[in-house]
Amino acid sequence: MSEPLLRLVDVVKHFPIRTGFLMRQVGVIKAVDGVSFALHPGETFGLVGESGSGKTTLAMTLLGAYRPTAGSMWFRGYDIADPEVRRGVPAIKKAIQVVFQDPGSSLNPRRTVRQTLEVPLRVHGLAHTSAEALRRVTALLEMVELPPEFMHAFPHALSGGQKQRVAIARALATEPSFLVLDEPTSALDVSVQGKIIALLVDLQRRLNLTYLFITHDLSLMRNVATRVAVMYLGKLAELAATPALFSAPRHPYTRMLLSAIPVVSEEEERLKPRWIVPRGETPSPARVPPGCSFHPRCPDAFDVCPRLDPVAAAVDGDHRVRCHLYPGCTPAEGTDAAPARH
Amino acid sequence: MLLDIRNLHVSFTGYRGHSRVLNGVNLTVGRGEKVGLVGETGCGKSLTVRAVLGLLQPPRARIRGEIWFAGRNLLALPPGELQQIRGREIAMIFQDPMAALNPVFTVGDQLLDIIARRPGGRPSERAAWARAVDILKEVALPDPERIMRAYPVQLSGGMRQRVLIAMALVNEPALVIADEPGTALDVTIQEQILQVMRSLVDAKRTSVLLITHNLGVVRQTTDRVYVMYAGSIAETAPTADLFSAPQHPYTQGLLASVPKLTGEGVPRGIDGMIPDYLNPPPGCRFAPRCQFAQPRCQQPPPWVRVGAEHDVACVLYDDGSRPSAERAAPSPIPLPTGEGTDEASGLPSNTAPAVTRP
Repeated sequence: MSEPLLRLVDVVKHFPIRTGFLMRQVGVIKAVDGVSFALHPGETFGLVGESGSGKTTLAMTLLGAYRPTAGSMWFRGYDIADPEVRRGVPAIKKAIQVVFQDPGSSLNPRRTVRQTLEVPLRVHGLAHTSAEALRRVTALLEMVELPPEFMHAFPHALSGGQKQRVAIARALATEPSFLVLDEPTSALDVSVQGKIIALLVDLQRRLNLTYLFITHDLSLMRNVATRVAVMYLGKLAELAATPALFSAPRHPYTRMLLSAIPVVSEEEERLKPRWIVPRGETPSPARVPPGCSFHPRCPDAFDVCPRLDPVAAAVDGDHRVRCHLYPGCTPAEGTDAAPARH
Repeated sequence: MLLDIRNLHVSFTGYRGHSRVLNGVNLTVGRGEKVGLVGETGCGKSLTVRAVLGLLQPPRARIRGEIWFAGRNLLALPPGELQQIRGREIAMIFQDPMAALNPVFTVGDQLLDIIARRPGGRPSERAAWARAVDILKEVALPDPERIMRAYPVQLSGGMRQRVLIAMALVNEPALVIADEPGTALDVTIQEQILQVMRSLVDAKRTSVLLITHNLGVVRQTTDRVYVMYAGSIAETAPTADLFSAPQHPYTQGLLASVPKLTGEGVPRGIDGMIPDYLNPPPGCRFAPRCQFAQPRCQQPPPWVRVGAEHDVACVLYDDGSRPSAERAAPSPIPLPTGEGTDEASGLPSNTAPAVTRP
C-alpha cells in the first residue's frame, strides 16, 4: 500500500483524577491506552466503540485538543503529538479538520452562515479581501450543494441536514486533506442521513480526502468504511477490512456488538453472528479490569484472560485482533503479567 | 380494544398562524398487544402520546377527536379522574433516564412513592419495600437492596433505564407507553433493556405502545406497527408484513433509507422535507415528496385494506391494484473502492415507474 497519511504509534491519553484541597492525584482515567494504526490516503477509516471506549478522546487528541500522554502521531513527516510541532507548522492545522455530531450546537447561533464560513478563511489568511471571501463562501456552499442565498441565514432557520452541510463546508474551508467525522449523521433522520453520506462520499472522491469516521451505528459503518477498528476501554480490540470484520469477526466483543444490531430484514438477520447475549456494561475507564479488560463480559473468557493483557496479532493478512483465543496474542508469562495498578 | 384513538386532530395557534399538526390519527392497542409507532423527527408521534396522557393544554392546543381507554373517553374526563388513570393504568417510560429520575431522591424513595399510589390502597411500609425490591429483581438489577438506597447519579445509564422500567411496571398498569427506550444507550445495553422489557410485559400481559424512530427496534419488539408521517398514519400492518411487504411509498422509502448490513452502500434517502404545518399540502401530506404522486393526491387519501390487518392511506391502492412489493428503491451510493469509481454509477435512479399487479 501507499505511504500512510497518518500513523499512530502507541498513543496514550490518561487523565489524572485529582481530589481534595491539594489536588492530590488519586487515580487515572485511561481514556486511550496504547492505540496504533495507520490511515492511507483516500480511505475511510471507521472507528466503532460504545460510550466510554475512548473513540472521541482519540479524535480530540488527533485534532490537537489534548496532548497525548505518550506515543507519537506521524502526519506528513511531522510528529503532531508534540504541540510545538503543531504550532510551528500552520499547514498541519489547515490539513486536519473536523465535523461534529450535532450541528445545532457546533454552529454559532448568532452568526450567519457567511460569518461562520469566513472564520476559518480569516484565521488561516485564505482570503484577503471581502470580495475574495465572498467568492470562497459561495464556492463552499456550492460544494455542499446549498444555494448561495443560504449565506445570509442563521442556523435556526436551517434544517438539521442543512446545518450539517454548513458544518461540512466550514471544515472544507481550509482545503484539508484529512477530516475527522465524529458521528456526522447520528443527530439526523435516516431519510436525511443518506443525503449527507452521499455528499461526504462525493467530496472524498473529488477532493481526495481521507476520513476518520466515528459512529456507533454498525449498519452505517458497514456501508461507509473501508477498514474498521473496534475500540474497547481505550484499546483496539480488532482491526480489519470492513467486509472481513463483518463477515468473520474474531474478537468476542466484536461478535457481541454485531449480534446486538437491530436490523430491518431477515436477510440481514442471517448476516449477524450467532446470538450472544450481551452481558453487563462497559466498566468505567477509571477502573479498568486487570488482564484483558473485556474478560468480565466475555462469553469465551478462560484462565489466562484475567491475568494477562493480550497483545495485537495478525490472524489473517491485515486482520488484527487482540484476544487470547488467537495464536500470537498471549505475551510470554511474566513479561506483562502485573495487572494494571495505579 | 384497550386504547382506541379515533380521528385525533391537534392544532396550535402561534404568532405565525395556525399549525395543524395531527391530522386525523386513528390508532388502536389491544390487550396484551405490543404496538409500535414509528416516524421521523417532527411527525407527531410524541404529540400523540402527550394527547393520550392529557399533557396538552387546551387553550393553546386545540384537540378534536376521541381517545378511548378501557371504555372511557380520556378527552372528556375531568382532570381529577385522568390523574387516577395516569401512572396507575397508563404508565410511561421516557427516553432519557437521567431527566426522568429526580436526582435528589434515592431510587427507593421514588419507587415507594409510586407504590403508595397503587390502586387498591396504600400498602404497609414493609410490604411496599418488599414489592420495590421484587420489581428491581424482575428488571434484572443486581443487589436491589443497595440500589434502593442509591441516588440516580450513582447508577450507570443502563441501570437507570432499568429503574425507569421498574417504576413504570411496579403498579402493573394495563398500558405502558415507551418513548424511545434505551436509544440514549449503547447497542449491547439497549438490547438487554429491550429484552427485560419484552419478558416483563409478556409475563404480565401488559399492552405496550412503543414510540421510536428506530425501525430495527420496532421489528424486534412489536406485534403491529403504525407508520406516521406529518401528523397522519400512513400505514399499519402486523410487524412481519410491514417489513417484508411495505406498501405506502413513505414506508418503502423509509425502509430503503436504513443502511443495511448487506453492505450495498448507503441509500440515498427520501428527497424533500417534512411539510410546514402552518401550510400543509392539501390531501396527502407526503405527495410533494412522493415519486408516485398524481392529481388525485390533492384529495385526502383513502384508507384502503390491502391485507390481513394491513391498511394503507394511499390512492395507489383504492382501485385494487398496488405497486409491486419490490420497492422502487433508489440505487445506493457505491463504496469508495479507491480504484477510480465511475461517476455514472453513483446517480440515483429513483424514477423507476411503479409496476402494478392485479
